[in-house]
Amino acid sequence: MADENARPADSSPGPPSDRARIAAGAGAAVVAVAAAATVVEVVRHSSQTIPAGSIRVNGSTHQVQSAPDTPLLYVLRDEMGLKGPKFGCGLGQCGACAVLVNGREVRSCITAWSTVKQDVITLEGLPERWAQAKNLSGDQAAKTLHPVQQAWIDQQVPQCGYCQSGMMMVAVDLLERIPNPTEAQIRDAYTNTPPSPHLCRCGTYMSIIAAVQRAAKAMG
Amino acid sequence: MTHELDRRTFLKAGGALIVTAAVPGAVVAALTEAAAAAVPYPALDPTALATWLTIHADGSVTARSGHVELGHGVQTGLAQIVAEELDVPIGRITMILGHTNQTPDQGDTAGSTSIRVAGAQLRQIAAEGRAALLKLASQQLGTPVDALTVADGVVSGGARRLSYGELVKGRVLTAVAPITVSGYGGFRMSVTGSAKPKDPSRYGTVGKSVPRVEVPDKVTAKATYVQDVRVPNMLHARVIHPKGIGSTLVSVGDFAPKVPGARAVTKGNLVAVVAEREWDAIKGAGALKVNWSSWSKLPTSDAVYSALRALPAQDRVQLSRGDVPGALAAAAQTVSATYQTPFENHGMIGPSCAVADVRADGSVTVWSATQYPQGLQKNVATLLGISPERVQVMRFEGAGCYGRLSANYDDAATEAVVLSQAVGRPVRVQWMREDEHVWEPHGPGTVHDLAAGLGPDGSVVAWKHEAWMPTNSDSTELGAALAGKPLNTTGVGGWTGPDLYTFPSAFELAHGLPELGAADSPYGFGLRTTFLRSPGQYQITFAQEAFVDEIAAKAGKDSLAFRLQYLTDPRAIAVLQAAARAAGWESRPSPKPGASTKGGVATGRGIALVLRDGTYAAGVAELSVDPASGKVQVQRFTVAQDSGLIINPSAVEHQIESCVIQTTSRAMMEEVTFDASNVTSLDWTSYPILTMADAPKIQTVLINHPEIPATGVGEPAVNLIAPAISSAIFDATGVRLRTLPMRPAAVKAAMV
Repeated sequence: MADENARPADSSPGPPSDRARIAAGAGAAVVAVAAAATVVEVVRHSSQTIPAGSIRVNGSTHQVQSAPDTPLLYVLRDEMGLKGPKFGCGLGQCGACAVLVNGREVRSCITAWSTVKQDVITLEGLPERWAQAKNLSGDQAAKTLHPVQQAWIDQQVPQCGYCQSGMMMVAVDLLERIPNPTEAQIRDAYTNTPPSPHLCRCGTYMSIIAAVQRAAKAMG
Repeated sequence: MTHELDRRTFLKAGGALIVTAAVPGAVVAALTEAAAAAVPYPALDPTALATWLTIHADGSVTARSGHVELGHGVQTGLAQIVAEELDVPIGRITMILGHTNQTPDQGDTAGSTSIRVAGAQLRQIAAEGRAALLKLASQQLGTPVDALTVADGVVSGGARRLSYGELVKGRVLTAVAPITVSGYGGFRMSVTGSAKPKDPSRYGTVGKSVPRVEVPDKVTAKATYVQDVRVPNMLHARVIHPKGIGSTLVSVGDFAPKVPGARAVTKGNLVAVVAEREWDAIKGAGALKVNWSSWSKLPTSDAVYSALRALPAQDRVQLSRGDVPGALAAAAQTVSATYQTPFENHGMIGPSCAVADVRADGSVTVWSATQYPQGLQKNVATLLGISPERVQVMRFEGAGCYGRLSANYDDAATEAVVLSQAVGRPVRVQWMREDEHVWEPHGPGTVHDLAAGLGPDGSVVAWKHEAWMPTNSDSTELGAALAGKPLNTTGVGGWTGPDLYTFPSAFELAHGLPELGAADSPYGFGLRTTFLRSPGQYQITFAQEAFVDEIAAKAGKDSLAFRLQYLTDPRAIAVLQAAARAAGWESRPSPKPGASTKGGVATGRGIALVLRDGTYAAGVAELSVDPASGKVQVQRFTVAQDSGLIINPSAVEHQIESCVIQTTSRAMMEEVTFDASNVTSLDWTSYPILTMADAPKIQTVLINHPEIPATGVGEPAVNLIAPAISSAIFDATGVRLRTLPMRPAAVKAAMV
């Protein structure tokens, strides 16, 4: 459903003064990373082999600068400036940090980056994952969100939104395995998938169920 | 050229107004320089229209509010209000929220005030803006104001039309008559002027389910949360909080094992590890050897209710009507009961986080998720002994906080300020999960004694309620307190909630309590407790509404009919009837015929009513109870709500959903545990919350009263959940649960 009031996904939030604030150094993880660009190498990579000391995230290879025991979460957030995966507990108890590794949901806060040998997808990478699956042209791809993201907008799922990146990761994992899950299967996936239930404190669980069902229809 | 002049010129011109002129790039650059040079930000003038509102040359509108987005949709709701008054499409409105150098101080985003109070102020401002625009149009079109019409930001007079952008042409918009602001920044702040806001009967944008403007960014990882803020030259910090609540620092030893890149920073009792890399700060905080004094002045949580009764209290009579002792003595029968609610967590999914930059020239920038940027600005200024103008607070969304950052504006921010000053670099403080579970200011545990007297016909002749409640408004800032510069006091608890029932005699007494352990703590605070979604009223309403159900049962009356018998307020009656109708309420006394703990899984229903900050809500719980396991499954919760004028029905429904699910969690599962030294529920395993498996289905009935000013929707339904569930369990089994949480073990124990 088109949403004429929603901002286009690629617009900067707020008026020029907001952009000034970001330019001044606030809020832009990307800015800080760019400043450290001399030590961060991001290479477009099409091969399935990931060089030693690297991870592949959202289709690009990233040469990691952190110690091997560093959880993947800090590499994604602090080195790569990604904002999708969030720190929630550092214990694998809440799911805010969830990403997809080889298509399955993994808690990046308790997973050392050096143990990750397969493709990592974060919330930032969902549109491209869908575009590739559907062979969308570049123009179409640029305008298309993953159906899970679109369903999250259409159902107005997020409140604070902090947990929702992880929630969307579960949805993609589930819908790629079970295209038309029942409500019971959805509840089960969010509750009983190890290592812990996915927790939302704002109380969006019922909206999530509706959004997963909506996304299932769109993907089918 | 000075940056300060540029900044002042910018502000005098009404903020972004200039930005839409020919050289936005230059202005942006000047602003960036000003920010980088950290010049003082002059106080905003709330009586100037341009402080609040900017009409850009392209017809778009920027409106500024001191209130902040908490995920409750205020950014969208306020934009709807502004769009409505100006007759501009909602898509052309941009709201700027909660930046101390840009937005006027509209007080704390708390107490269901964003629409009710801040929204009413913005409505008046937008109405003033419209009047000013029409005056300009009248002059330029040569048409009397009364003969002008506006549609989509275009003014028509006769055959001629002028857009708002053409009318303003880059000039500052000035109000037709002076705007008066009283109580600036306080809960009683008012904005008055000469313009008359639009009659609600003509609303087009207000009342529509406008999609929330911040949602797309939240689902595409474009939203920047405070946890995402990184600034150049920033150090990551982890704070090592005291062992016991009142423990003080004895000594800081070495890192064992060594953590290259980590270094300890100490200021008074504030101990932290800073590092260039976040993981080094985390590892360092785990490796640093810190010795704390022992402190064990708390009662343990399993003895908490008797300990609360024993605390020194400040008593306040909440209600006194008629001769309650006499009526109780003369009553044909009496009912009495004690209700208890535990300490609870706000439970932010993302632990506290803030970034602070205390520069060598004494100016300060704080990036925070606070509910009150101007409040934090003043606290930081006091902490550092500088004027508030030297401090700017940039507010970003954080994890949902539900009051946790409303009286305590931001513990992590004050810690970051102390640390940044100590190390001379920007510092990002990120609490770990255990820090948040242990050190958040919790929702207070409470105790309630209730009694009622019934006449020979089963009617109520007397009502009595005494409540023991620790403070709900701890405003200590942890960074300040630990660094030896405490800012605020902790206070005592109070009573929240009006009385709706017309019982002939009634007496209500609040025993306002200090924090547990506060009297024996070097910091002045004990087990910290502060506003948690519908603070105080949540606990009061649980006790009262469940007890009303007990009285109805004693009188052999249907719970709905019994309530209606003692209600006169038509809005209260309407929500009760609407909830009952939607839930298919069957009129009969509770417990239901055949209710038993012996016959396997039983089902039941319960009802509750509340008036919170002007909003009426009624709820019906339908659930099943398995007496053998104690498992309660809330199958459906119905809420009927009347909050006056509805701004955004979809947003209201989502707030009700939020209230139902979060409070089902609180009522059924949550309890902060502690030993004599500190909190022992450290994470989501020791403090579990509701999962999707147990989320109830939710049915909402919205009653719209456009003629009544809008009131809050983020809190009222919270109050319905616990009493309705308790009464539904009673309806199913004949057993009354009076202590929260109603976990399976407690339910099972009560059923045996």
